[in-house]
Amino acid sequence: MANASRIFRVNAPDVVSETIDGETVIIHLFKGLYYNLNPLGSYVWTQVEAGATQAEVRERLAQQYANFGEAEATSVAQLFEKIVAEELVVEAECADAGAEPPAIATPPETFEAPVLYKYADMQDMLALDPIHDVDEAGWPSLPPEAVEASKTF
Amino acid sequence: MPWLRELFAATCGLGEMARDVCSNIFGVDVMVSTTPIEPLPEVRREVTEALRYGEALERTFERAANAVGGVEVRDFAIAGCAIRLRFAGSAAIAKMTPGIAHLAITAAEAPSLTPDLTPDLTIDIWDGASTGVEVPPAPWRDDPNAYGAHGEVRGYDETRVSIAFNMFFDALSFLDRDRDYAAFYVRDVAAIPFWETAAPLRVLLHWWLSGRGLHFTHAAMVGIEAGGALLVGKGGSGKSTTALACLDSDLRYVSDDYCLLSGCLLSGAPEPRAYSLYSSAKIRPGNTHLPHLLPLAYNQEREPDEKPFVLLHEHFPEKLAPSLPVKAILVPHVTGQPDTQIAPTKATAALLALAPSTIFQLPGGDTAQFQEMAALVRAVPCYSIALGTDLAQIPRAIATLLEQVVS
Repeated sequence: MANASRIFRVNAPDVVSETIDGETVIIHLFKGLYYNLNPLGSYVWTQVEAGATQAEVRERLAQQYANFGEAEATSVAQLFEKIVAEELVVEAECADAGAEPPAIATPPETFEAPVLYKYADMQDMLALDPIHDVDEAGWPSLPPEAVEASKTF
Repeated sequence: MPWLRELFAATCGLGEMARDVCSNIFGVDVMVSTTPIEPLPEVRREVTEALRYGEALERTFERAANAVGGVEVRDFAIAGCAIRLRFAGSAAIAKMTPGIAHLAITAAEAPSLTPDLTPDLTIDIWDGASTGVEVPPAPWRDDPNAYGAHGEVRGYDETRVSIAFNMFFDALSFLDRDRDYAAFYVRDVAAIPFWETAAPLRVLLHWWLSGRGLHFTHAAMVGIEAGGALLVGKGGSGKSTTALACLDSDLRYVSDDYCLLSGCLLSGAPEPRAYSLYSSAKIRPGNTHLPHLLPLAYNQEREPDEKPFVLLHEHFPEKLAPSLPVKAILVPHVTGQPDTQIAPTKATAALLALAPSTIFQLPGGDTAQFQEMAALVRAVPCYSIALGTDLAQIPRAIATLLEQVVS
């Protein structure tokens, strides 16, 4: 909870997101990863997009849900930790005055712990390790076994 | 391409392979990567350097053409855009045109498109082996951080110039957007793989067409005249089999793997529309549902590990539709049960099936492309289709749905 007053912003341009009907899809373009958030996670995301701190989100949820206690607060804190760890958001230097208003005005009717689903099955399409080996003309090359493997495309 | 990351790790001398494992986040099993990914250092290069390189490529092409007896021209109408391929000699033509042959235009069909007029995009294509003329050395050759995840050259102003090197068959793609000029060089035409013949020039077409509001999209499309269903999902999800199963029905076929989508946001089009791009249909190894297509494969004399592909315009010309409006989005999944069923699904389910497999396939995926796909799933009703083993049910189920949504 030490960082509950920090303000974050979406890690653009590496990260793009869209919230539709109370669920959010997030893509980390550079890492080749993608995610989605369940309705409460999506609510938290839109609040973060709008410049809300973790403390402010917690306060809003406490007002919304009579049963919002320590366990619920912990689940929200864990979501903050996760989206920071995944580099989906980065700390903002100051509140973004031009931030988009939240796409979800109110949280879901019932509290269901926020969930971040993460998918790594597209990473194989990217060369995540830097390409440094080039020939004299500047062209990168692959070992012969890789060229053979490409026949299975 | 599970081997790809191992490949690059090996190329770069990295000992530890990246691995995907199942992990648990807030009680849910999810795919998690263990790969530590360091951001590439920022690179800035002067665009004038790339423009000079483009001019050098153009001069090199002319030398290559002169070396083999001149330029061969082939014109194509792709989603309403006139695209001219200029070949140095004829060596590369048979490798680079079969997949788009159904979009070829001749002087008889389009008298206005003559060699004296400027097409919307010109692509110069040559190979080093047959012409004896190679491309000039890359100006970024001494920069260890020049290449990005798709072999794209980093650091230039991409609103003007895009460059990428395909390491699988040593091909260079160059696009100057302001001049609508592109170059495609391959070291040896004999090295062009079957998948490039089936779906040629993906990178260049993706880059250039996106500037026209036409998005290169990883999706199948079938339908009736009034509208079609876009089938979205990563490889193996069943979209290709579904599209090919529809060849035996009254449904028209636009694509089974890649199509072009006119976006609502950028183009301001009144409704999203999917356009035919390639007429090639690859048959996955082990696909036992479509045995009747195998004898029609274009690459009959293929290597054992090469996928057969069928040029549909040669065998089912009446089935091909140049474009259809998108009236439904279907997220397929294979059930193993006999019956096919369609049910509404969330727009986010469709976006998850569509966006990553499209964006990560080619260099240049960005916010605008993602926003277009989000606009699409917002605008069009989304469904899941549980694919049954009785293939005849699939086109019937899709046709029934389309008749409902277009009425």
